[in-house]
This record gives sequence, C-alpha cells and structure tokens, in this order.
Amino acid sequence: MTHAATDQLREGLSALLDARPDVTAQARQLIHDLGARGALQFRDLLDWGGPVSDDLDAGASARLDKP
Amino acid sequence: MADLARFADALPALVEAGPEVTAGLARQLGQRVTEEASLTCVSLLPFLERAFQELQRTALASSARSDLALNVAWLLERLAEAERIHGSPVEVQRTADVALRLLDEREAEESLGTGTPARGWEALERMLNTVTGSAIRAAAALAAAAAAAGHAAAAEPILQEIDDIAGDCRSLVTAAALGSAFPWIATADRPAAERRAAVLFGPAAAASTRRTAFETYVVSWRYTSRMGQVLVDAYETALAAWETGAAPSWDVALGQHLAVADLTDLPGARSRRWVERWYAQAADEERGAVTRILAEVAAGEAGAACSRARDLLRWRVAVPEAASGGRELEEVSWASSAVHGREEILAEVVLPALERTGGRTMDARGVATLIARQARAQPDDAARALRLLVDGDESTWP
Repeated sequence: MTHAATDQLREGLSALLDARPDVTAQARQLIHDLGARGALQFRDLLDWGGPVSDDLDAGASARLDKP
Repeated sequence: MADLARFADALPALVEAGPEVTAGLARQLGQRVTEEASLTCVSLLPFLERAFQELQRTALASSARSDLALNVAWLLERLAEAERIHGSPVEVQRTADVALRLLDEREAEESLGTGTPARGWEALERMLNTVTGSAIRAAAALAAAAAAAGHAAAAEPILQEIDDIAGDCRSLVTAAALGSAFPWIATADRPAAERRAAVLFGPAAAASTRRTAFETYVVSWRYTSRMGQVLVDAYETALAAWETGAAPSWDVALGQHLAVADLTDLPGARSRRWVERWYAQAADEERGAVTRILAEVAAGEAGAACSRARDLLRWRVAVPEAASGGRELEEVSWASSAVHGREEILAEVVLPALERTGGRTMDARGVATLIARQARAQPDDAARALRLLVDGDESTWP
C-alpha cells in the first residue's frame, strides 16, 4: 500500500467506526494493527479520540516496544 | 518554401558529405512537416525528386544510396501520417511516383533472409532498418493518405505494386513490412481489404511469413473494429498457432487485441471464445497486462463494453488458474476507480480478488478509496476488504 493511500485509509476507517458494533470492532482492531505498524499517526487521534485513540496508542506502544 | 528548393539543389553535395548529413536534413524536414500545417507533399517535391536523381547516379556508394532511400522513405511516411498529401492531381501523382521509385530500391528478397521468424518488436526493428521495410511502409502510408484526400487514382499504382510484392513475399523482412503497413493498405482501398488480408495472412501464405506479418501487425497497431472485421480469420489462425505452442513467445499484444475484440463484440470473438482460449495459454505476466485492460474498461463509462468487462473480471477472480503467478489478480484493483455500480465492483470483483491475493494489489490507493466510498453502504465488504488490504500491505512505514 502506498503512503499516498493514508487519507483514504483514514476515511474508510472513520466510516466503519460509525457502522454496526461488530464492524466497529473490526475497524478498531485495524486501527490497533495500523498503529503497531506506524501506518497511522497520532494526528489521527484528533479525529477519533476516546477509546479508539487507546487502540491506536496501544498499537503504537506495541510497535515501540519491539527490539 | 524557397529554402526547401535550395536544399534540393544542395542535395548532391549533402549526400557526398555523408549519411549523417542527409539523415540530419531529413530529420529537420520531418520536424517541419510535423510542426507546419502548411507544408505539404508539394513543398517537398523538389527535394524528393532531386533525391531520386541522386539514387540513379551510378557512382553513388551503395551505403550512401540505401541511407538516402531510408531517409526519403522516412520523410514520405511523415508526410502521409500528417495527412499532407494535398495538391493538384498531377502533384500528388508525382509524389506517388516517388514512392513507386522508392519501392524499386528494395533489396532482393533472397538477401533479406527467410530463416527463423523474428518475433514481434524484433521483426519490426529489423524491418525498419531495411530499404524494403521503410519503402513498403512509406508507400502504403502514402497510398492511404492520397486515397483519403480524394486521390485514389494516385494510390492505385502503389497498391498494385504492393500486391505484386505480397504475391511474391518470401522474406520475413518483407512480411514484417507488409504486416506493419496493413491498415494503410486496407484503408487505401476498402473494397479490396479482405482480398489483400487473405493474400497476406491467409492459408495460401507460407506459415513463417504469415506469422511474422500478422505478429508485426498486432504489435504495431492498436485493435480497431474496422480492422477486426477484416482480420477475423487471421486472428483465429494466430490464436490457433498460439494454442498449439507454435508461437510460445507471442507478444501480449495478441491478448490485448483479442480482449478488445471481445469487449467491442466483434462478430465471432465471443462464440469462438477467443479471450477464454488466450487466457488458458497465457503466462501470469501477460494475463496481468490484459486483465488490467479489462479492469480499466470495467471502471469506465457504463455501457455494453463496461458490462462485458465486469463479467470477464467476475470470471477471472473465480477461476483457480488466475491466482497462479500472483500478478494477474493484483491488476483487478484498477477497476476500483469505477464511478457507477461500485457495489458490484467491491463485492463481486475487488473483494474476491483481494481474498485470493491475500490483500496484495496494484492500485492500493484506488482500493482504499473504493472502500472509503462504500464503507457506509457495504460495511461488511468494506471492513473485510480493508483488513485484507492492510494484511497484504508490504510497504514499510515510518
């Protein structure tokens, strides 16, 4: 995936976060995984906030913890 | 105009100065033809006719002679391509006479080689470096441009000469030249196009020259419906050779032609299952190039071709062999930029392709955009596609 797709990625995740609870859960897991890979930045917290920012934060922390 | 006449007067000295000089001059003139709409065959006649006086000079070294002939041919082709074959009937006829005399400069068939057929672009390149190849292309282009400008009478003797050449075609260079010039030959005299196609590409032609001629045609030109109708039998013959392995390194251009013939519903293309048969034999890289065309048409304007492209993509994402090699199904992603019917593109085309590639894709940005657009309407498909896209992502992030 190109870095140029980041905006589309965030747009899609935002839409999924507004969907059914089971879909929202999938989106949150994706956010966690993307945070772990450094594919989403902390600026995304400004859009999502709350528990979602925890997902991203946890992902990013997991990434930073890697040797 | 006046300086062109001076060039003509100076031509003998320029030819003596060496092939680089005459080539440079031809390039300059060709550039002017491209840029100046007022420049026609009439403007260049003094130069062209003087060049032929030079060619008849017995003292001229053979290499200088062929270089000059190549440059004149190149210039004639530029004039024809730029549709500058205008003038009085006499002036156009004089220009056609230059093309006819150029055909007389062809190398002997025996000297051009009749051995192993050259493939596609290789045949084209080899042919363009011969007087035979350049002269045939220039004469055919000139005939087409003259006929289009209302000078069919000037085109006729050229076509008759080309008929004689085609009837005696034994060298692969000549076959390649005739194949690459075929659309000009066909459009110069439409009623005779099928007869001429049969001579060049039909069963009466030797297998090696027929194959080289058709392959050179296919790699030189995009598919058009008009040519498709004339060449139905030739496509079938070429595909049959492809299926038997007689043409193992056949260029992807054949697949591209057959796919567009199918999408535009050339009579016979679908009933003979051209696309299915081509895919069954093609390598992954070649399938990918053709699948990209299908995807781009599927993403385009609504209509019969778009609908057919989507049907073919649904078939490709379902057949087991499409996944072998890895590239073909990644090309499916180019359908993501569709502006209509995005639901079916995501659910029936892009998502199944992502499932089979493990999320690897050529157009990640397009797929991500499609997902974003469809996330509210198709949350399950969008979430699944996004998961696959992320899992298949091999890029590194900061």
